[in-house]
Amino acid sequence: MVNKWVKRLYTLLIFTFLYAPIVVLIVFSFNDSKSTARWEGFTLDWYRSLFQNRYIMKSLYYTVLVAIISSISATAIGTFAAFGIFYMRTWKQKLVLNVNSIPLLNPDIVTGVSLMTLFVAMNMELGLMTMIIAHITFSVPYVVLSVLPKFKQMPGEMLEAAMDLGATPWYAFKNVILPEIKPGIITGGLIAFTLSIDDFVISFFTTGSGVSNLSIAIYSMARRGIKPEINALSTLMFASVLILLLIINKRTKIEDI
Amino acid sequence: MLKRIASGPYLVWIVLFILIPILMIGFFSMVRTDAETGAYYLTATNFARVFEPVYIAVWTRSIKIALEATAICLLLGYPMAMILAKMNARYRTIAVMLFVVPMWMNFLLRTYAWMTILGKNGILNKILMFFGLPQMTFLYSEGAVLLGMVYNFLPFMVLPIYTVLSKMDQSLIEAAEDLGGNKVNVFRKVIFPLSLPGVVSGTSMVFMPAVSTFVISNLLYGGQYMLIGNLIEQQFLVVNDWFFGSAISIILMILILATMAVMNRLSGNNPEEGGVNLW
Amino acid sequence: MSDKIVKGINITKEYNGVAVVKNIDFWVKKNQFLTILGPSGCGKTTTLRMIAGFERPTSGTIYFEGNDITDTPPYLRQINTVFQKYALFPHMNIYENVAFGLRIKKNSEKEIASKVSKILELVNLSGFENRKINSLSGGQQQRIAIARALVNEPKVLLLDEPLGALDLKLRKEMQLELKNMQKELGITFVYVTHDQEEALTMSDKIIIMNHGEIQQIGSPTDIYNEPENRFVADFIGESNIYDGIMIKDFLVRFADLDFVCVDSGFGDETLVDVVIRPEDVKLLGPGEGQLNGIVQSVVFKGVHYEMMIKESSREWMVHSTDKVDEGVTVGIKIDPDDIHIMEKEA
Repeated sequence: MVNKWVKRLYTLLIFTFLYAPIVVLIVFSFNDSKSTARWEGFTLDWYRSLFQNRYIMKSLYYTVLVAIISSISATAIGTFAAFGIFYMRTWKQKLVLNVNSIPLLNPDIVTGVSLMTLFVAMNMELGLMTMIIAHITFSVPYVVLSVLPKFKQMPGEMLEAAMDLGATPWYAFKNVILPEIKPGIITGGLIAFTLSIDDFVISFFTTGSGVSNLSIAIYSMARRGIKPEINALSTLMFASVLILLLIINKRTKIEDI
Repeated sequence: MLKRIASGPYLVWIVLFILIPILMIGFFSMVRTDAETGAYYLTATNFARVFEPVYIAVWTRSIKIALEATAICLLLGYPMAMILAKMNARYRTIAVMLFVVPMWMNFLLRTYAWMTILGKNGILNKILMFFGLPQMTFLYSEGAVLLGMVYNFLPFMVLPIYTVLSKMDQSLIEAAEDLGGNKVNVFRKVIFPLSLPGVVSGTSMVFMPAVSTFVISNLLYGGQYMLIGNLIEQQFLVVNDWFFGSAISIILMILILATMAVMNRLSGNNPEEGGVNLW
Repeated sequence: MSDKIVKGINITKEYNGVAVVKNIDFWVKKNQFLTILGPSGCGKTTTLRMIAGFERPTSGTIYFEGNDITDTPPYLRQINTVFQKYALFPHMNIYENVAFGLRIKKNSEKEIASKVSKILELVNLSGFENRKINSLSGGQQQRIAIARALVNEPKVLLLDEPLGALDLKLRKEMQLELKNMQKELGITFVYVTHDQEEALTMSDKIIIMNHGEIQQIGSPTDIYNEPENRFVADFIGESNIYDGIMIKDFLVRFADLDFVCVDSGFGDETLVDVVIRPEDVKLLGPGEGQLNGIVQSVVFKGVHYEMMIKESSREWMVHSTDKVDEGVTVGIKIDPDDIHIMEKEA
């Protein structure tokens, strides 16, 4: 009995630790004062000024734009790559997969500065384009790793069977293989999208003045101190994460049935 | 034909954007430019500088804080993972999801949240004042950085351990009890050794980002040369000494890869089963 | 004190309000080979797990050598288990697996070494000490699981379908080996299986369970020859079961005929089930038996032929070493002592 209460107390403490900061942000996003210490009454002013903040709104636009372009490109490149890798010889496959895992293992900061070095050496102006390239680079490995297992689960010689029945390679890929690997592609695409939305470190090094994503905007604002607009932004982001998770949860539950 | 060309764009991509950039910082780490002609010359000064006492102090501080954060996450996270794994299935899904939700929040927002709590006019100090205690400086201290790391990375420790524990064959635990093992014995001799793969992946998932971060230290400590991550950032973005910055990056990369290799050995991972395994 | 080493009284086990074991009583005598037999989901494994201590009965008491052990944790019971999927510790080699229980009892290293090597000899796996678990075949893992339990010299060994994962030939070998081991070591075995043949081969006593209730307790011969109800008759061996009426003592009507039988005491004009084993049906020329039928199918089963014979609206399964061709009309004869009468279930 005592044991049970110790466990409950411990769980409660850990969850308090995890959620207290978030709750604080949410509560003070409605506080009618710049201070995060005293409650001065309810207001929606910070939400208004959040939406009027051109810097944040522009960053939001770039975040979504980069996420969409980079995740779609990464998914396409990664899916075809997995297809090619699956049919490679063992030693070649190993080599490619090892290179593929470099961005996964390397600290983000090293990936960031190395890409920045390359872009500068190639005389590319740091900005939207370089950020998109960087995002594709760190997303593709995840797409490859989520699509490749689907190829391995596929019954062998399906491609051969399709072509034996007269399908062109492209037709066979589209109509036989694609449906089999679709779940892997969707997972990979979603991972690429969320990674891109969330990335700070690599974006920070590969973008230039004028182009920033939300993470960079939050960072530069936070460095200058407490900004109640960030509280409002946190609340909105937390709410969207919750809603998204609830939708996913509901969907998987329906699929379970 | 299609099989062969399908991976073409990707191969070009990884050579161009993964291999070449790393080779470039590898190259930069070994050269400097001549002040007059601007030509590159081979030198070891960049690496030599890394071992100057000022920077050695930064390395030791980084590794020390990262190790402390990892240890605290393990101590807090292991019991939590056990509690989660033993939870009734109905509550377990919700509890695990509650662990994942904060991870989906932007990393910077999660760190920023602690600024508002630990700050001079933050909640913590208001609570102290309420009890008539003197104000304290929580923010901009090593403790704040440690707290930020534990807060951000705790789920990375809990989830892999939880996964291993919840998949553990219950009959192994029963067999150990059947053979005379009490709770302590069963944990020490069966549960813990079998959960090592989870501990190892949790440990590396906490240690790696902790040792290379510059965001947490910048926001919660503020000092310039606090951690290795800050040092690299400064070299590339402020001081503009890319040669020295590259040398630090290369050493950080080697440190991380070596840690990974050691961890893999420790958990007794079979390279054939592990799937992706670097060299 | 009696010679009953394990005893369960009024044992009920419920999960979320659903009873999987319903108020059963059982006992195991010292040095006995007891088998709990039944189809999957009958509550046999749950019963075994309650004896081992992994589950607590919802109500009822379990005694071990006369002491109440209902609330004793498994690690304090002098009972060891051989698990269905062996449950060998994958992070330890063979030696460490077998030594596990001895280490906990703080035996000296020397003692451990000698006990382990002796037990490995017993299961024919000497020299395997340093091998890894996953380098062993299923049969070898099985032996290690038995060795790991036996090395602790338990007073009772519980075995939960231990041969289920082995192929047929190996299973037959292990059945004999297990039986010999049990006789040699003089340890009480409680064995759970759904394989009726296995149960009949190995056991001194069998408990047949279905839907959480005990259907019959008895020796293999009793159970085979005198099934107490339709379930047991159906589950043990193959049977022809017909509806019948007990006209009076020693006379039963089924298949539209009156047969003399050896049973009595059911009461006159009582509805009963009549069981006739396929090997007890004798085939004669047409008109020479009590009934006539036509052979529908003949299948060779290795030792005997299995024939299905249609008689009126009924089917008879017959086992015989003499083959009768399809379509042939035969006479069917049943001797009085081959007719088994059972009360109809409510």
